[in-house]
Amino acid sequence: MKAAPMLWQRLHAAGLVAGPQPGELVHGNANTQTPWFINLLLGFCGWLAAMFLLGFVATAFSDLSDQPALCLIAGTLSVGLAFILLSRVRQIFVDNLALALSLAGQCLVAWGCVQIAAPQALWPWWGGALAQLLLALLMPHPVHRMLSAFAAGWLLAIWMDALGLTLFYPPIVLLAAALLWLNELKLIAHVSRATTLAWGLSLAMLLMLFVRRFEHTPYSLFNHAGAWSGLPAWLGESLCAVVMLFVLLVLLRRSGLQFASRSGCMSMVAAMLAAIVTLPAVGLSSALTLVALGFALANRALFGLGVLAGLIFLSSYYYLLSVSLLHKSVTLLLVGLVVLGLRLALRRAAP
Amino acid sequence: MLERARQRDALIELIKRGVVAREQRSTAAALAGIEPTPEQWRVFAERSLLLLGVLALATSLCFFIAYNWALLGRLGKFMLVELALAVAVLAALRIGPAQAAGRVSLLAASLLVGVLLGLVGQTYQTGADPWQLFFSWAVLITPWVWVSRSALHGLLWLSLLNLSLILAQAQSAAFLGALVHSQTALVVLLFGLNTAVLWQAEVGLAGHRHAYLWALRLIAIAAGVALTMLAVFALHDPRTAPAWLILWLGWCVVFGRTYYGRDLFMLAGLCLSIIVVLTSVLWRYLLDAADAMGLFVMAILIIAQATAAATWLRQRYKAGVS
Repeated sequence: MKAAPMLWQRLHAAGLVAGPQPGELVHGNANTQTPWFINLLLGFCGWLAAMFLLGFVATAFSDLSDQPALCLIAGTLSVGLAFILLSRVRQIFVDNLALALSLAGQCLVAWGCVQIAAPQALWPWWGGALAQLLLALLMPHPVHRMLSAFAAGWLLAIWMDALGLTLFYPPIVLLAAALLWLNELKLIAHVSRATTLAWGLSLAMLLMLFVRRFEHTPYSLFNHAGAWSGLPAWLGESLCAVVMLFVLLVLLRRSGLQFASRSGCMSMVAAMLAAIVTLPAVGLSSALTLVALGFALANRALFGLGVLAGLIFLSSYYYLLSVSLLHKSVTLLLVGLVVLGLRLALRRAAP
Repeated sequence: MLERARQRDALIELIKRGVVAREQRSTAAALAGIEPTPEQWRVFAERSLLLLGVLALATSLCFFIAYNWALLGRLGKFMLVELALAVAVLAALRIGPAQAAGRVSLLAASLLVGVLLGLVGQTYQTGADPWQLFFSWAVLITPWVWVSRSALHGLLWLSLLNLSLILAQAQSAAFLGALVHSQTALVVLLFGLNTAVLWQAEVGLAGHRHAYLWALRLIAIAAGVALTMLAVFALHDPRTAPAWLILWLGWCVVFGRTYYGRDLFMLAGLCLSIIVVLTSVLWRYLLDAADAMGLFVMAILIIAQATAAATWLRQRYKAGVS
């Protein structure tokens, strides 16, 4: 990786770094990061190994599954042991073993909670979300942090569904993920902690939006009647579009655009229209927010995820049963004309 | 975006090493040129709006035809689709494939060919199977795919061919006759098709493959998944010949040699394929009795494989392969 020593020299010339260049950078052995697809491979193998470990526990200690207290104790001990291993030993085999141990332990704890809790109890969901968030912040392993953030996102969705707050889940998680992405470099001491949390929440939100396409109603896992459940479905998507607009304006501001100028006004109007045209297809504004963030932050994996999610949400619009194909056709025609009109206006306004 | 992505990775590397103070990170990010300039934003917005707008118009027509509005007669529907097709082709001819607008027009024309074929099927009830529609669609748009040299266009073409193979197998029990078991035949054909396209693309794009990296990786995933499935079938399904396992082994060697110093993503995919096949072998020999010790050994062996793969991939990454 030659970019790091070159960037160090540039920052040094600007007085942003002091002292001699770190030896590893000088000798070209500069990379301590792990590409996302290696983390994905490790996460997949960790889950697979955890399933076999759970199978081993269920077979060797068959009485354990009927005793919730024992499940909770054994699971917590397993997660604790994983934390100690990850904190003290820096070896890839031990890291992977600890990941599998922790995931198996969490499954045991979840099983214990399911047995203890009353059928309609809500505490396992919010308690689980909090516990996973804690693990996402504390566990000294990037793959573990991302999996925990993902689980926290899902448990939060189920809890909000049960309260009838389903509509508010996508905009809240989208906003949280966007704020993390926007501040990934400066938010906390360890950059990867913010990034893995943002990845976990973004994936949880997109997958939840996708899974909901297969339900009877667009926005419900449990169909619980809560105080807020009577709100119209478009409200959730509108709030996502507002988050998208906020993100676009922040990014444009960062690029040095003055909103008082002509091009600034044009960009604001374009961003607003772009947010409005995403409204018909559920999830599209969330996907396009990630596309914009991926482009602005030069994060190609995030950009690709956003594009993929956008294509899936657009194609699932075809299967939206509440709207006729003629209605969809007219909507898409209008969207196409507005979008192409915007492009024409941008070209004309360009210096 | 590639250069900005490199600078981003470099800055994160320096931050992780504690070289850049927290209060200096925003200035350092600006100096590294990670975030796009207003001009880069304008180009990005223009291209995205063009693609979105043209796709929205093409799908609008597709939905309209699917609605089968009775008030608009047969002639009206054909005229509508053919007019749209003619506009897209004329726009592509006028602008040329060197510009993004020309390539997007060709993509729209390709989508409209599908709408036209669907309309022919809807109107005349030709009795053709769906796989024939997708196959004809792919064949008819081949020259435009060749001319446009666009990754998105190429992937549409390849997806149509993959889909027509899958539908052909689903609709015909005697797929490829007595040559091989029909499920195996499908996977072999999917592997062959995607591998051939990948090979052709790698040869044709030599020198500027970085611009098509994501598309090449998607095609490699399709080819790799098919062959890995074939190897797993060979291990567990008595109707599938064990010879396919040898093909998988050979592919691993060739694929590994091809991408050893070039593409870490491909090597990670290769590792995953090896882990899946080795785990299937272990499953067959360790889990027959479904005893506790077998499950425990399986877990440890999977962790060991993941460790070996991650160690090797990180070594390659440090050696400069990305």
